[in-house]
This record gives sequence, structure tokens and C-alpha cells, in this order.
Amino acid sequence: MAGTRDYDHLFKLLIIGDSGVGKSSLLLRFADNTFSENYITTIGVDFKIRTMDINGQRVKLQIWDTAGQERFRTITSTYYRGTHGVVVVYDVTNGESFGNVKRWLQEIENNCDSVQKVLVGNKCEESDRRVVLESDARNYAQSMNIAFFETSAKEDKNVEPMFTCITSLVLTAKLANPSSASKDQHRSGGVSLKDNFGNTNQKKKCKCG
Amino acid sequence: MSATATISPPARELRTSAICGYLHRIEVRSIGLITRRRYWFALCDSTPYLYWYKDSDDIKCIGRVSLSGAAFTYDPKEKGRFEIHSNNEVIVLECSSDKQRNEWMRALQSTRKRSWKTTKSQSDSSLDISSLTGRNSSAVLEEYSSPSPVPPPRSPKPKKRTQFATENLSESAESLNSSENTQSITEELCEVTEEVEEPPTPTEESSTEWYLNPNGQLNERSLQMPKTIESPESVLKRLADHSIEAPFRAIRRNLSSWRGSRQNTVDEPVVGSRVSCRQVVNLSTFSKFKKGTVSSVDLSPEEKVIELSDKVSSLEEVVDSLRAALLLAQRNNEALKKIEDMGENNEEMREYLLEKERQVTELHISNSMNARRVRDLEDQNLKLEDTINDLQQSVEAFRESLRTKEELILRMCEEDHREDLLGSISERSLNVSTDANGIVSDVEVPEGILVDVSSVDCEEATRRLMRPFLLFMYVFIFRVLDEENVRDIGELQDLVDGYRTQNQFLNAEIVELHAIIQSLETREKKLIRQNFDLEACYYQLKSRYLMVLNHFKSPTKPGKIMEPGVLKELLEESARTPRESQQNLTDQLGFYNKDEFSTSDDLLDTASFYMKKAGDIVEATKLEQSEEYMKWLQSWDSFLVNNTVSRPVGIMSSPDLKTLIRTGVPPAYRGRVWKSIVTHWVKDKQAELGNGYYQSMLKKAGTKKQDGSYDAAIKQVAIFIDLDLARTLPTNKLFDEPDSANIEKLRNVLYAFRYHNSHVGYCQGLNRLAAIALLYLDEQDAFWFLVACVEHLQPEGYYTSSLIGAVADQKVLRDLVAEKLPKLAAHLRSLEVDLSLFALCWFLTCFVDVLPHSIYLTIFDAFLYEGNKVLFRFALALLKICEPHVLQCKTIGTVHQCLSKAQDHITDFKSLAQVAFNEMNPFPQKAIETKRQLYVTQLKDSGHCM
Repeated sequence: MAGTRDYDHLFKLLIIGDSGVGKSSLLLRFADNTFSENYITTIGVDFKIRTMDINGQRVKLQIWDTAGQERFRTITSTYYRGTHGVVVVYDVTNGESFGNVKRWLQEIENNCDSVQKVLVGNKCEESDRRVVLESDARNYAQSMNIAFFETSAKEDKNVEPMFTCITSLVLTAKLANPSSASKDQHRSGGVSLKDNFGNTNQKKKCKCG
Repeated sequence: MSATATISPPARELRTSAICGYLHRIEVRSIGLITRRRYWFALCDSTPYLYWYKDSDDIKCIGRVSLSGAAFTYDPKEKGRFEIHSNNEVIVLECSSDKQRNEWMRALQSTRKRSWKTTKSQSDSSLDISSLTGRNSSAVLEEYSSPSPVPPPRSPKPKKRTQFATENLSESAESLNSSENTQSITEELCEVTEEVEEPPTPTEESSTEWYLNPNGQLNERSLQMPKTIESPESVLKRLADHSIEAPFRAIRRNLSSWRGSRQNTVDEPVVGSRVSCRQVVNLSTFSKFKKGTVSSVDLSPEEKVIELSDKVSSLEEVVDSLRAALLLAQRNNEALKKIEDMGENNEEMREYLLEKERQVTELHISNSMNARRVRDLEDQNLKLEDTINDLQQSVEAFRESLRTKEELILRMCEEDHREDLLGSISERSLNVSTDANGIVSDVEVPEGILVDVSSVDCEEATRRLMRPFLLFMYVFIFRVLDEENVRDIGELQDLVDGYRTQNQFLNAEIVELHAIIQSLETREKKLIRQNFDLEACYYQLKSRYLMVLNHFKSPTKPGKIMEPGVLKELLEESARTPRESQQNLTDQLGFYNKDEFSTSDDLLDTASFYMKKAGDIVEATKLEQSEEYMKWLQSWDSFLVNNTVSRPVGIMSSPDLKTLIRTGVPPAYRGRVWKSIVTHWVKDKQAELGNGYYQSMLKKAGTKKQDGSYDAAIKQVAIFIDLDLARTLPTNKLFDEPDSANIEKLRNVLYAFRYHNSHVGYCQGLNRLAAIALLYLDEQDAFWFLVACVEHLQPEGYYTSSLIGAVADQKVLRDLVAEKLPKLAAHLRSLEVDLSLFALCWFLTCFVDVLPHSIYLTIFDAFLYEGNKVLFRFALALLKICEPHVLQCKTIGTVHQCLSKAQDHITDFKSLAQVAFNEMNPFPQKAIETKRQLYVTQLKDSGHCM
């Protein structure tokens, strides 16, 4: 396969966050450059692929979009495995979704070993309805030591830079430490079948608690 | 023998009046072989067909007959028997009593009425298509119907206008008649009496005569019985006493005997005159009787008049001869007096004379009596002549009425048939204009078809259709004459009553048929107009396309440069026609049409896009006209009729029904069928929870919302529901915006369900199920639909907080794929693709948004009836159809692309269902359940619970 592939790196990104914060819209904007006011709810998991150039390297991105509803976490959590970067999204007009960011970060901690993260406040075009201040979010991101963006999928604000940023982060991390992540990722971009539902108890514990 | 016809407790729903029961169908198979078979007949207002089944709980019908153009008759002599004439076919049915027959006839008539009324309203709404030429057809029609001095060609109006004139005439005729005090002239047949007044031109006039006024209602009195029909009553009574000929023969016999005796009077005048007196008395009684008889014989009045005048002259002869006899007797007397003068035996002589004188006075008395009787007879004759005149006129009138009725029926049939033809023609021309949308160069133009077909076929069809009616009329007349044989007057009286009600029924029939024809006429006119418009439009488009083609053929020629906007205009127009642009956006269910205008600037791309679109339209039309499609619709219709009528609540399980549902439910019936199936699942629960349960759940949700007392978890659910409302079916007009028509209903259903089943609460995916239900059902039924899906059709734990059932089913599916599609399973494994990435959504939402809605709605049909197992079937079928494509994929990305665009590979439900229900067999339910149980336990053990 190595001979025929049309990219230098293949990265797997995961978008998580509360229901209705605009995860699918961000992906749709990034992958297809379209926007729909009422995009159908994601059931389970969806994904899209896009290739981009980072510093002359062709990077193929496999971006997984997950369902936000709590009860789907059992299913979505299996997709954390092998992920290089995670985009945590909240809605700037919904304080609760920002409050849940902590839980989502915890989720990452529970399911992944080393992963790049970015915090995204979506729907920033809705200045009238905004409840989460940019400064608060930025401070919080800094305190957690993760990158932060405010985006608008609707008005195509900051979407491209945000994805470029997370991709660069992943690429940098990979180049800095080539041995750790490259092994299985070069073989395939998929999720291992047997890992999906036969999860170990360790992963589940977080939710029971 | 017909006692078996039991009308089951008339299962009448509130909206639809329906009737069903066992009837005998009588068929003449081959020469003389008559079969009587007992079937279950069902009729309901929702469909214009009468269906019959082997038994009351059958799914499939044995036969059906269309009632929309049917006529019904019965013969009062045949108990419980009636006939349905439809499409050149006569169906003879028999029920146990006349009362039941009346019920059936009423039901049949009301069904027919409803059927054409709905088609009328449908056609009224559908026909108002403003054409491209900008002429509004309805406006044109207005012109037509306004009283213009110049009657438009090919319209039936002129005839009706002449009727105004004749009506006036007949009114004056009526007043004339009444002033002459001719009592028995049938006033109700005023139109016909006019012809009696003006005998020279009766037939031509009457051919334009209608029983109906221009408004389509019957003339005031035409529903009443013509009095001539009442006279058969008396006819029959007398016929029973004696044959018509008998009295005449008796008179003739008496006459000849009188003549014979007259010759004898010369020798024995006294005896002869006595005899003659008796004979005269006899004669007078006979003629009295004859008067009655003659008045009853209304068949050949001319003959009777001649005979009567014969009788009068013969009576005069009798009087003459009586006078001669008197003269002779007087002479005799004189001779005797002379003898007395001669004076021989005085005493003896005196006695003799006295005797003679007594005889003479006797003769005088009898003579005067005879003279009086003769006068009486003459009077009676005069009266008789009057009566005969009257009878003649009424017979004329009756015949006329029969003829006009026949004509009317003839016309109706003709119009009916022509209407059908026109309908099909205009449809054809619609197709032609559709073709014109693509780039079409040579399309056959339907010129001339209109004229040819309607003129040739119509007559023949009419003749065929008319035959039963004419036959019936003749049979009626002949039967009246044959009644001579029947002696029982009471029986005859009943029969006459029967005929009277029958006639009333037939009159009502005519009124109704006429109303139908009127509506068809207007529709026909509209269709013709529309047809013209479409044709004009078609030619316009054709010429423009030809111009464009010419331009491309010789682009170098300088003089032929096109105007710049022409091409674009044509393209835009083709996108608009034939439907209006507004309607084009969504389909009937409110789903937006996907064929967004291609933005490509490449002309060839655009052209091929339209070519495909035109092809699709033509294909769809063809499918809808195919026999298979019609059969499918028919089988559903027949099922629903029997189901609604015999079992108004619920649906029962049967293999036949399963097969039927697997073919999909026609969209028009889906709401009813879904409701029945849902009721079938939840009726126990509904009974347990009682009426108004849904409302109480809603109320609970509403009040809790007000006081804000609900706990955090439920509040969270409410927020999730609100968030998802507009994200449920964004491709549907009814759901795409937060304030769209059905959003509020969806909210209510989901709120109510959340309170109903707190264990499930709200799970994403349920919103799609509820929204699909709301496409066809009302709020409350949609709620029960959701209950049925979650609590009955899907296994336990499908939508609960751990989704354990759904997750387990993914593993079951994986096993089934490995078993049924080993190649695909191996390929997926080698690419390390997890099927649940795609399939979880299939199972949680029953393929909503995975497949085109026309297909997933049909999957819902089967799912609702058979449950979760169907989802496995369809998932496997989908994978099987996609298998060759998936096998070519080298990466997870391409597999995902392939499977998420499954609708590209699945074009129609039929092929999918074929794979799902046939190629996947055997498909034991038990194996699935066992596997599921195993995985659920496994998941629970591994801590997959919360």
C-alpha cells in the first residue's frame, strides 16, 4: 500500500462535544465547504476525509464526527482509539455546553494515551446570544494547555485555521516522536474491528462513576 | 336458499358508510348453465369498487366491479335479486329479502355518488393549471357557459337551449289541456302532451327533449309516476277476469244470433221480439263491460275505435230491426181487428183482442225501454270514444317518456365513454409535452386521435352499454302483457307496487347518472381546453427547439445567429413545465426534491441533466400506468375495503397480509394501514391506560414546564428534544425550520413519550421515527406509533441510556453478514472497517435518511408489521446490493463513501425487497434472538451498562 498512496501522512481526528454545538457543521464546512442551518442529527458516528498541505507535506485527514447525546458515548468512545487529534467543541450561546467541556476532556484522558487537542467555541457569529465570553474560554484553554479557537461554521470564520492548527500540532508531535504513533497508523486508517465493542473494563469505568 | 345472506351488524364507521354481507352471485356460464355462488361482499365509501371475497376475513378479493360508471336495476318479481351494469358487464346478485336489497342499492348509490364527487373535486382542483400560453382554462370556460348568442361548436348547449322553447310550448299546451277539462291527460308529461297537440312533427321534436332542465335537475314532475303507469293496475285486474278478446266474440255471437232470429219474426213476431229484447239487454250489458275493457286496452286504440264504431252501427241495426218488428206487430193487430169486424165469435174475439192489446202495450213498453237503452249506449259510446282518445294520448305520452328516458341513458353512456377517452387522450398529450422537455426532435403528434377515437369507439361502446337497459325496458313491457296468465289479483297488486318502487328507483338512478354526466361534461370541456393549450404549448416549444437545433446544425451561416437569451429561456422553461415552479420544490409529503438546478455552465451537462430528468418523469408515468402497479393498488384497495368494513378496528395477522405488506403500502393508504397496525400492537396498552392518555402525558409535560419543578435530568432531555426538532428531517418542508408546520407536533409527541417511558426518555433517532409517523398520522397516533416501535417492535434496550439492545444487534448483524455474505465480511475485516459505523444508524432509525424516503417509508411498512427482524433483512439486502462496489474499495474512506451513498445503488424498493425477502432466506427469527440474547449477556458482563 505504501507505494500507491497519495499522501505523506494519514491522521485521524475526532470531533466531540455536546449535542447541537455544531460538530457536523464544522466538519461539513471544512470538508465540503457547505453549510446548512439545520443539518440532520448525527446518529452514532460519521466521518469525512480531506487532504491538506502542511509545510509542503500532504496530510490526509480522516475526521470522525460523533453523536453528542450522552447515551451514544458508549459507542463513540470506541472511536477514540488511534486518534491523533481531538477537536472539543462547545457552543458560545450555550453555557452548559462550555461547562461540559471538562467532562469531554476527561473522556479523552480516559480513552487516549497521547493526543493533540483543540478547544473550539462555535457559533461565534451569534454575538447577541453569546453567553460564553471569549476571554474566559481562552483562559480556560490556556490553563489546560490546549489550543483555542472561536469559529463560525455558518460564516466560515476560523474553521480552516482551526483544522490547520490541529493538523500541524499532530504533525509536529508525530515528527518529534515518530516511533510512538506511526506504527499502526500507517498500516491502516481504520478502527480495529475487535476493539469496537469488546472494550476493556478499564475504559468503561469512567462512565459508571 | 338465499337465507344465508346475512347483513352482519352494519359496521358503520363515523365517516364512511359501509355495508358488507354474504350474497349469491348468479352467473350464466355456458348455454343454460346457471351457477349460484355465495361470496362475501364488501363495500365502503372510500373506494368506488364493490369487492367480493371467498370469506369474510379474506385479504385477497376474488373480484371487483367499478361503481363509478355503473347503473343498478332490479326486477321486483325476482325476490332479493338485483343487477349491476358496469363496463359492459352485468353482475347479478341475490340477497335474502327485498329489504336487504334496498339497503344494498342505497349503499351502492351512495358509494357511486361519493366516488364521482371526489373525482370531481379532485379534477376541479387538478385541472386548474394555467398553461404556458397564459390562457386560463377556467376563464375560457366561463366564456363558454355565459349565454352567448352564438353557440360554440361541439358543445351540448344548443340542444338545451331549444329545450327552453319547448318547455314554454308545453306549458301552454298544459293550460290548454286543463281548460278542456280532459282529466286523464297526464299533466306530468307536459312535454309530451305538446306533441299530442301537434301531431305532424312529433319525433323530431322529441329527440331534443329532456327530462331535465338546463340546470341539470329533473323537471318538476318528471319524477312522479306517469298516470299511464297506474292504468296497468286496472288492466291487470281486468285481464285476470277475462281475456280482451272474449267480450267481442260474445258480442259478435249475439249479433249473428239476433240477425238469424230477425228473419223468424215474420212468422213469429211476438216470440222474436221478446228474444230480441233480451238480446238487446244482453248487448247493453256487454257493451257496458266492453267499455271497461276497452278503456284498459291501451295498446292499439285505433283498432278499438274501429271496433267500437262497428258496435255502434250494429246496435243501430238492432234498433232498426226492432222498429220493423213493431211495425209488423201493429199490422198484425190491424189485421186482427178486421177479423173482429167481420164479427164471428165476438166473445172469443174480444178476448183475443185484449190479449193482443196487452201484447201491444208490452211491446210499446219494451220498445221505449230499448230506445232509452240505445240512447244510453250512444252516450256511453261517446264517453268511450273520449276515453279512448285520452288513453291514446297517455299511451303516446308513456311511450314518449320511455323513449326519452332511453335516449337520456344512451346519451349518458355515450358521454361517459367519451369522457374516459378524452381523459386518456389528454393524458397522452401531457406525456407528449413532457417529452418536449427533453431535446426531442421527432415525437409523434396526437393529431386526429381525438376526433377518430371519440367518434368511432363511442358509438360502439354506447350500443354495448345500452343493451342491458333497452332489454330491460322491453322485458318490462312484455311482462305487463303476459300477466294474463296470472290469476291472483293480490299478487298482481304487489307486483304493481314493486314496479312502482322500481320505477322510482330508476328515476332516481337517472337523476344521479345525469348529475355524473354533467360533472364529466365540465371536466371534458376543461380537459379539451387544457389539451389544446398543451398542444399549442408543445408546438411552440417544438418550433423553438427546432430553431435551436437548426442553429447548431449550421452555425457558420451568418444570417442564423440566435438571439442570446433564447437558449437560457428554453432551459428555464423546461425546468418549470409542466408543473408550476412552486409545487416543484417539494413532493406530496413535503420532501424537497433533490434535483437542484445544475450550476454547471457546460451546456452538455445541463442537457444530459434534463434528459435524465425527462427520462425519470416518463419512467414514473409509465410505472404508474403499468398493469402490475394497478394490480398492486387493487389488491390493497380490496384488502382495505374488507378490513374497514368487516373489522373496523385493528388488523389481524395472516400470511396473506404479510405478503401484501411486503410489497409496500400505497402512499394513499399508508396512514390508514399504519394506524391499523399500530393499533394492533398497542391496543392492550391503550385499553389499560384509557382514553385521553396521550393528552394527560402532554399536560404533564406542559405543567412541569411552567413551574420549572422538574428535575435536572428531565430538563436536560427537554433541551435535547428542542435542539433536535429542526434537525430531524431537514429535507422536508414540514420539519426544516423551527417554526415549520409539524415541529410543534413533533415536540408534543416526543415530550409525551418522554413522560410515558421514562426509562427510555429521549434518544436521538426517536425524533426521526416520530417525524415519519407525523407524515401520515396525527399527533396522538404518532405517539402510539412511537410506543409501538420502541416497546413492541424493537427488542428491549434499543433506545435506553446504554443502547445495549442496539449494540448487541450490531454484533448479531456482524455474524449474519459473515454467514450470508462471507466475501464481504472478509473484505471488511481486512480493511478493519467496523460495520456498526454505518449500520447502527440503520437500525436505530429504520433507514431514515440512509435511503431515499420512498424506499425507507416502504421499509417502515414491513417493519411495523413484522418488527425488528425486517431491519436485518434490509440491512443484509443493502449490503448485498452494495457488495460488488464495496469489494472494489481499498480503504475505509472509500468503503464509507460507498455505503453512505447506498441510495445510488438502490434505485427501487422492489429489487431491494426481492433480495431482502427471498435471497436472504432462510432467515429464522429464533437464531437472531438467541444470538442477541448471547451478546446482551456478554455486554452486561463486560460492564456495558450504566
